[in-house]
Amino acid sequence: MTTLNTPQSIINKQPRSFLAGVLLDMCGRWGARVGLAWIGLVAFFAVFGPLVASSHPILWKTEDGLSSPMLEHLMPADVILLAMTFVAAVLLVCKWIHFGKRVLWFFAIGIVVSILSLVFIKPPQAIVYSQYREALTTEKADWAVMTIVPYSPTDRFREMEETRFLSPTSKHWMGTTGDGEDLCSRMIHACRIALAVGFLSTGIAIFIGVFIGGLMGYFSGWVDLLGMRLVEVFSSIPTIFLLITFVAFYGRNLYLMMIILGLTGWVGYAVFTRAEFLKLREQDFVQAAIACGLPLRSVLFKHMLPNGVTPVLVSASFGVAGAILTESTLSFLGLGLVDEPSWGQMLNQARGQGGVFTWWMAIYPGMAIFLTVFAYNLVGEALRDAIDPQLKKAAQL
Amino acid sequence: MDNRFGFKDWIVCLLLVAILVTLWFKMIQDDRQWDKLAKIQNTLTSQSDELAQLSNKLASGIKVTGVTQSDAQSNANTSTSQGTQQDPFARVRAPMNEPDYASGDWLVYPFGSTVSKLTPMISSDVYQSVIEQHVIEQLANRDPITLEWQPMLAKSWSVSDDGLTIVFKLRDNVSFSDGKPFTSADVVFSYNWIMNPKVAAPRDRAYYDKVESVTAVGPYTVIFKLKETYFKGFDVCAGITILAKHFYGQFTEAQFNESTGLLFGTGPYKLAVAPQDWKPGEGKIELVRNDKYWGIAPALDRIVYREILDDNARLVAFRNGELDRYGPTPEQYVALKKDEQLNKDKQLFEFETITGGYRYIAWNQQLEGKPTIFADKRVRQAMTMLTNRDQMARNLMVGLATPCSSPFHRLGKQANPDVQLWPYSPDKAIALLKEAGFEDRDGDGVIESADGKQFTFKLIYPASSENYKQMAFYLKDAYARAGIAMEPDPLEWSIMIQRINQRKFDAMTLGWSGTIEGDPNQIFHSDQVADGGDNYIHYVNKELDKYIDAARINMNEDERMKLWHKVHAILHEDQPYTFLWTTKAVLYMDNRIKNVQRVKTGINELEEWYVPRKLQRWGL
Repeated sequence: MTTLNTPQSIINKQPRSFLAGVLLDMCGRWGARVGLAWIGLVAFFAVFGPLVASSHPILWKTEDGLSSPMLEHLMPADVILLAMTFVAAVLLVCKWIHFGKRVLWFFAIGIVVSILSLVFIKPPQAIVYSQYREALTTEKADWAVMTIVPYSPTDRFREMEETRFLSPTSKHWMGTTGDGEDLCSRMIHACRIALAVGFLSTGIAIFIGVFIGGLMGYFSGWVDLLGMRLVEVFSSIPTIFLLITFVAFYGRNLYLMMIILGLTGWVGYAVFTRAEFLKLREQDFVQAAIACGLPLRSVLFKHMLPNGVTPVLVSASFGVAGAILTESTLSFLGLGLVDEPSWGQMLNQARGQGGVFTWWMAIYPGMAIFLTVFAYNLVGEALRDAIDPQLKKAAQL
Repeated sequence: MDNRFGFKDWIVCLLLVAILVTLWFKMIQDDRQWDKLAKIQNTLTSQSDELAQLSNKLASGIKVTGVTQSDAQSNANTSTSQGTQQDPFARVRAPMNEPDYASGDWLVYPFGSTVSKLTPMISSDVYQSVIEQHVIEQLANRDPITLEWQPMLAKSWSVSDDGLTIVFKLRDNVSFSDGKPFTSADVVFSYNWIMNPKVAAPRDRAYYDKVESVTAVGPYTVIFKLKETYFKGFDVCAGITILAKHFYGQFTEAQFNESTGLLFGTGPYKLAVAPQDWKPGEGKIELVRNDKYWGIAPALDRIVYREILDDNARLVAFRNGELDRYGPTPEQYVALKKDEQLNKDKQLFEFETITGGYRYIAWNQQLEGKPTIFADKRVRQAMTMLTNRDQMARNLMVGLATPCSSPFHRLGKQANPDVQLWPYSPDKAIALLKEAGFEDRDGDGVIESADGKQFTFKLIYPASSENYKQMAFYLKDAYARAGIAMEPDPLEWSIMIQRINQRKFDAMTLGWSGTIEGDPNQIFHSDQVADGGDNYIHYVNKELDKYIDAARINMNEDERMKLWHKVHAILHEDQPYTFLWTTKAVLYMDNRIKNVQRVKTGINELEEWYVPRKLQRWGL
């Protein structure tokens, strides 16, 4: 039994050890730590935003008894994110289960949870935020426990006369927007869009890019020739103008935007993967895998990909930053989402209708965009340094 | 090598000094020349001013002749004629008695978009019409105070009792800006040019479709014959764009259609360049005073229209004093009002006119052949009662808006004084919706009909406007109170127009501009549902059609107004639109421009303005 176990553990460890080493090395660099810390914060707000900033009380007592409007108003997306974060945390602790199995479990649970919440969670659509404040002042409700930021991102305080463009006070920590919403709450809720745009569009781009690039590199010859022409065609598409045209004709749709960003952004990844695969295909372990008669997908994605994916990961971190910037640009141009918050859209409002510069509308969203893009760049930089053996040697000297 | 500073260097130094001194003298001499020149120019302008005043005095001395009918409203048996004792230039002449009256200086006027065509008829640009009114005159104009028609190029006219025949007597002393006289042939040419199918003026042609023929009797009489009685028949005829036969006749239809700057007429101003040479996209359009003007010459030498596209850039230009006239957005107005120094330097006009138009929400009653939620009158009434127009006017329009109840302006005679606005009352609205079968049956916060149809809809509005966006959010929050889920859907302008023309929307919000006596036929008559008419909400009410038809052919003003009042009451009851508000216009004028006055149609024409000699800034 022991003789059988050893080679398997080697096979398991061999492809991972380089990646793991790179990741560990990267985390040792201070730039990456700062970057990861910021991304972690943004990710935290992306997941727990509805629990941090909401006009709905966490718990309140009315004539009908105790209830939690906040939980009743959670959207399916909120529930999915919260549940999946919980599942991920549990699975991380379960170290005795095989890693691949845990990933499989994660996705399986993810699909089930998504379907269940999309089918069963039906939050009220027409929301009157002022009802809570009115109930509390007219003593229809005895008490309420609010979230840290007690305002929802689309709460426009209609029961009050004028709340537009208020500068930061103790009540509204970051001031209010041109529609009278609390800026702090919008900043928190915009984290999800910033992250989603980056990850989804880059995910799609990597998937397509690695697939096409892998085929091009492995087969070379006329496949490579055709593939490179495709790359040239796609690299000449002006993404921003394409997005503007799509928004104009098919309306505002965040998912469409992400998909277009992904469909046009794969070129770089394809080129990187192709170069790596061209290098790897002549190497002994690939030849051995082919000689063993392994199927093509196994050779390509199980043996070659782990060895050639690192440069792609580096450029992916820059790609995420680029996607966030693109979304902000579109929102800034007024082509983004209508009601849901996004940093670029808030920055757009800073220009001020009345020719008055509202500094809080410029500084907070501007800093958020800057820091997030900066964080991704820091991580990417650290990743590249960790991978490049020559740089590593220079650092050690 | 010891002697570093020799005789030669002395000479060079001296020469240098000499050159500098000569330069200095030359500069002083130039300055003196400039002073002299300015003096000469000053005396010249003051002399030409005196000359102009003299000629104006001479002109006013000569009585403008015409048919003098003691009372325009007299009940003549065969025809009602209107006399012309009024002098069309009385208002231009009035400020000339002021001690500081002087001619000269320019007016700088900002445009928020570029003007691509100046040629009349083929341009649909609102800014083009602003320019055109100073270059091309009409047969008659509305008096800005009484709103009665007063003679302009025509010295008098008579209208037959059935309103089908209008005879204009033209002035014999009118000339175009090149000195050629204006005659009846030009009027006939203008009509024929509009009706020429090769000329790309479909909108004007549709308008003049009601005119059967235009004939000239002698050089100074023109007869318009209409096909059917129409209460605005006179407006149509008197408002015809006068094209000079000798000028426009030299172009073929194709040349005319492709032209950009063919703007030429009898007016007090003309283009600064030859009309054929004008090219769009230069950032500004300049008009200069027409030296050969047949009437009383205006005081301002030149009008400069500057094209500044960005809202904030326009505001900055105004703050820097580069603009003489500025209409701020509501938000800008709030900020500008707080600026004391600026308010000292500018005159502020806040006014509401009948022609100001109104803003509305249109409820589409039929979508893809099926009636929508809004086909029920009670639902539309409820939607109106859910809209807190007072609060929106106060906050979004910063008090510049007044809620309205119909397309007829409350200051006009067409409005029915008995109609009361629908109140803001969510409770009543919810009760009405319940009566119409909408209530929350499944506890999800959104009301639905008995067969489970959720009350959700999309509101389309132009994406470029921040004001419309804020309004859409207001409405969304207001409707949520009754359990109605509304989704704001901003669209690009061209896409929005396309969607409206295809009638593919649930609800939309926009504004209509107004006229002195509006014709609701275009928007609310059931005839206008088909063929791309402006009744894009599929609103059909046969009783309303009857009243509109009756009013349109009634030439008696009192009877017509009674019919319009009925129309108003029906529109109020049916609420095909939720009529939101009429707006006040805000206008800042530079302080140096004098005799800017409020009149019924807004502010008076710039031909009546002047700048005292001491305050003049441009052109000297």
